[in-house]
Amino acid sequence: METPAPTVVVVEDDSATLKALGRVLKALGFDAALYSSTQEFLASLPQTTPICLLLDAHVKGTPGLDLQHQVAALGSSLPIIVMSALDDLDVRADAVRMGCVGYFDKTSNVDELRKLISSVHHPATDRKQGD
Amino acid sequence: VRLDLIIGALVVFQIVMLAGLLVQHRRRRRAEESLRENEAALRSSYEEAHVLARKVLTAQEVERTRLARDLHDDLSQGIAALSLDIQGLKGRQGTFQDESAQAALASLHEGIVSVARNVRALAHDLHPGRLQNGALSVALASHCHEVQRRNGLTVAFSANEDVGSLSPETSVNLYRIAQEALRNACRHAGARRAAVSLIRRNGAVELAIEDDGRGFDLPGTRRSLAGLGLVSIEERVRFLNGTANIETAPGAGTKVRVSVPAG
Repeated sequence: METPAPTVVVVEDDSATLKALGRVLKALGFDAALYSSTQEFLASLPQTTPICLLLDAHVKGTPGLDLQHQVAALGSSLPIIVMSALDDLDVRADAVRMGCVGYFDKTSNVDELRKLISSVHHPATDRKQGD
Repeated sequence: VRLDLIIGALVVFQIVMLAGLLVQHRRRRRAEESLRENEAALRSSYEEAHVLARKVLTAQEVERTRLARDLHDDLSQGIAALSLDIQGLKGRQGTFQDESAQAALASLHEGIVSVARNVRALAHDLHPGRLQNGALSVALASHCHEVQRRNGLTVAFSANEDVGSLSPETSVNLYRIAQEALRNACRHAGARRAAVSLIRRNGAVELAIEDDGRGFDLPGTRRSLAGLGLVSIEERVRFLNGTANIETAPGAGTKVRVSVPAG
């Protein structure tokens, strides 16, 4: 039986970027669960088992970097990759400080994104956790 | 009769003299009043000019922050979406995999990355995010690094460890002063080296910017439109109740030293 593609969650309030990220993730071989707000994503979290979260640093509602605390409070250790449209040193530094696993500049090569997701996605371990 | 005539003439002369003195006294009093009124009007218009300058500086800052936010929220998001779409096309099967199509898409992506870099630099110049937290020394260090990268000017930055946190008002105005002085060093002075230092001592924050450029004629520049940058520096210092000292001369580089209450 074919193994289903792992799911990557994207939280991004710019609709054009959200759709483009969905297409890119599909091309990279992932299923994309797209949310335009942090509230929408938090409500869905108990029902989903994504491998990681791609989070816009400046998403409206809960500030991107505060979301990590809320995700942890729901008992999830979901790895978070923070994204920003401007390659912002401040955001990079804040992301590292908050314990996010990576930073993705949305204008950089998507191979960077593939590498970041691969660094947190370990299929064998993930399957065990899902069992 | 002759004596009476002389006395009469003297009395008339005295009366005329007194009347003359009275008129002169009144004229002098009016002149003094007019002088006082003019002085008060001048003082008032001087104050108004400073209040206006302060309002212009504040409005300029609000506008710069808004523009930086718009650049970030709208323009750079649009650029990011385009960049992702172009890369999505690169991975699409069919004619997109032709060598020429791949080269065209790679070139498009390079162009987009270059536009993104320019927008990022513009947004940073307009309002660095770190200033919102009052972290002046971090914002200044980053700006010096950016000036060096963009203009090839060697910029040394130093700050003592005790600068600490300053009010957003103090931070943003000191940042703008350094920005203006470094802009002059790059654009007009042809400087090769510059040094920026930030020190907090005795309840004051001292900012100094020095360059080895060609310097300029300070009094002449003050009188001309080219001196608007200097006016902006001095107004910002006045706004913060501080003092500014600018030392320069043709061929002698420029030193801008500013001291403001730490707040």
